[in-house]
Amino acid sequence: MKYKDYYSTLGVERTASADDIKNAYRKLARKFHPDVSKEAGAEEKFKEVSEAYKTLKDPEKRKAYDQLGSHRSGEEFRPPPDWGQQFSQGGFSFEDLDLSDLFESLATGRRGGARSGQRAGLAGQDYEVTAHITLEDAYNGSMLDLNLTAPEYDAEGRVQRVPKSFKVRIPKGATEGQRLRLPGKGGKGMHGGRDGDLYLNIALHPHPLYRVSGHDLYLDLPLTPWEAALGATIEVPTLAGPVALKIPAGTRAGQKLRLGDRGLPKPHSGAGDLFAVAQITVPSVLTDRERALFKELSEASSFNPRGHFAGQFDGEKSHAH
Amino acid sequence: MRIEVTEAVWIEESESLVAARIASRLQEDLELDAHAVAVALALIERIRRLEAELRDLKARSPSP
Repeated sequence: MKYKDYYSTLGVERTASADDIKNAYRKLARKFHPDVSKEAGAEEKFKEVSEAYKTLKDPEKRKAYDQLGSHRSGEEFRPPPDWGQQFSQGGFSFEDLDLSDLFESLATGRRGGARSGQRAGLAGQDYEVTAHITLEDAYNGSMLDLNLTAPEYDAEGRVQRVPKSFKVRIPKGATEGQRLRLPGKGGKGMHGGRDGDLYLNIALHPHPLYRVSGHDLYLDLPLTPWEAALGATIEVPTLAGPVALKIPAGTRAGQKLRLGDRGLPKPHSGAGDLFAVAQITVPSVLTDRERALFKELSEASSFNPRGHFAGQFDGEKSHAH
Repeated sequence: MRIEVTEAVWIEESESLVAARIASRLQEDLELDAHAVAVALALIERIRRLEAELRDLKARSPSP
C-alpha cells in the first residue's frame, strides 16, 4: 500500500489542533472545490484535500492514521501487525488497497457494516468522469472505451480497488458541457441496494475549422474582395461533406451566412445551424497585373468606406477653435 | 474478454435539481450554512451564465 501524507496535503504539522486542521481544509477547499474553481487539476487536488480531511477530522481515524507511522508520500508500506485488530475488529487484506479505502472500511466497520449483521439496502456510489470527444464523434455518435479503477465493497464489507472497463455508445447530439448517464455502472449496491450510476461530462476537443456554441457551429469563411463585391458560389466544408454556398454580392466582413440544420444534431430531433462568418482577405503578394488592376479600380471607384468619419473631423476642428 | 456495450442516456435535469445538487455538495464539502450556500449558488449561476455568453461570443467572432 502506498503511503499518503495527509498532514502535508493539508499543509499542517502532525501536532496540529483540530481547529488548525479545519481551518487549513476550509482554505484549501475554497481554493480547489470543483464547483467554484477553474484551476487546472483542481478537482484532483480537492479529492486529495477532502480525503486527508475526512481522516484527520475524526479523532479515532486520526489516531489510527498516526499509528501507521510517518513515511514519505508514495512510499510502499505495511501497517503494523496488530493495527487491523486494534482499529477494525480484524479482517483487512492490505493488497491492492488504497489508504482512503482503508479508512473508509474502518468507518463502515464502525457504523456496523456487513459484519455486525446490518442488512439494510445501501445504494452504490455514483461516479463521474469527463469524456473528451471530437466534433466528428459528437456529430456521428461514437463508441468510447472507458477504463476506471473504482472502490467496491465485498460481501464482508471490505473495500477493494476493482478495475472496470466499459465500451460506451455516445449517442449523436452530444455537445460541450452535456451530461450523459450510464445507469447501473457506478459502484455496486450492498444488501439489495441499487447499483450507482456513472455520469459522463462531455468535453469537445477544439476543432481546426469549427467553433461550437451549443449545437450551432461557426466557420470562418475567407473571401477574396471580388467574391465579396460581385457575389460567388463557393464550396464550404460541413460535417456532412462539402456544400455549395451562394455568396450574395456586396457581402461585408463579419456577416454571417446561415446554413440551416448543418450544425450538430440535437438529442431527440432537429439540428443546430452552421454559420459561415465572412472574412475578406487580400493577397499578401501582388503580381504586376493584379497591382495594375487594383490601381485602376482605385482610380475608377468613388466608394468611400470612411464617409461617416468626415463629420467627426469637422466637429473636432470647430471644437478646437 | 468480451466487453458489453453500454448505452449512455441523455440526462434531462431541471435547473433546480442541478442547483440542489451543487448546494448539497457545497454544504457538505465546505461546511457552509444555508445563507452562505444561497450566496455561493447565486454567484456560481452568474459565472455560469457569463461563461456561456463568453463562449458564445468567442464562437461568433472571426479568428484574428
